[in-house]
Amino acid sequence: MKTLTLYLLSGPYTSQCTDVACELAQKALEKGYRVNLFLYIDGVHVPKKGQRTLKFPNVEERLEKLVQKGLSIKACVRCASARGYVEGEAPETETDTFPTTQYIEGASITEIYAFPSWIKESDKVISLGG
Amino acid sequence: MRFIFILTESSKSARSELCLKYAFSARIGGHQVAVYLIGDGVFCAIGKYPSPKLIGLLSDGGEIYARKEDLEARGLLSRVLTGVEIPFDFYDKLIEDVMERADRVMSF
Repeated sequence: MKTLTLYLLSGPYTSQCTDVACELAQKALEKGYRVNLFLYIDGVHVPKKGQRTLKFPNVEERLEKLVQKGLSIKACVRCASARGYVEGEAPETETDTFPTTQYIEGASITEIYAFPSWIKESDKVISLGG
Repeated sequence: MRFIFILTESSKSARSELCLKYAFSARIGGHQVAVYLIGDGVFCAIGKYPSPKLIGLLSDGGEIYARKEDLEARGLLSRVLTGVEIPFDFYDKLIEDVMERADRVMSF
């Protein structure tokens, strides 16, 4: 199975980049590809729980559906920590992810080294935002 | 080689100029080139002040695709340059191209 990794540097509702990432992920999953989403800089806001939108499509709800279809989401620990999402000093030993209660199920906070690992196993990488 | 360029910035941005410069250079170098315009990137596809690089791409066999929904949202659908294609299912075409045909993918 071919793998597509998306690298998102923008937060939701500031530009169209998050929507583009969701559209690309959805279509790639529908076509049977494995899809990863790595979040960096303001991209780490994207999987936050409790988003309430009136006129914009709700990114949280959209990501939850994509996770159910197989999307993997990881966020950079330094970016997430700087924005208040990390709730602990060290990664959890079993998962190697940093603790947070603020993200939707299926999204995790990891060291930046997860990104080059994903790049290595990916057929294509698309960067969005920044 | 087949190069794919994904452009989400408007025609006045430095990033869009850089994208079209790279795309045009790749085409001149004999490579297949496809430029996908999304979001504000669709401003590059309208006829009033088109980039010479975009015109060059169109006249030299480069493929330019613009997303219909983004053109409509900006009131630009009737002003698209001749030669710019508007696929029925934009993301379907883009993913197919990226995953199955492209050698290199760059986004701006």
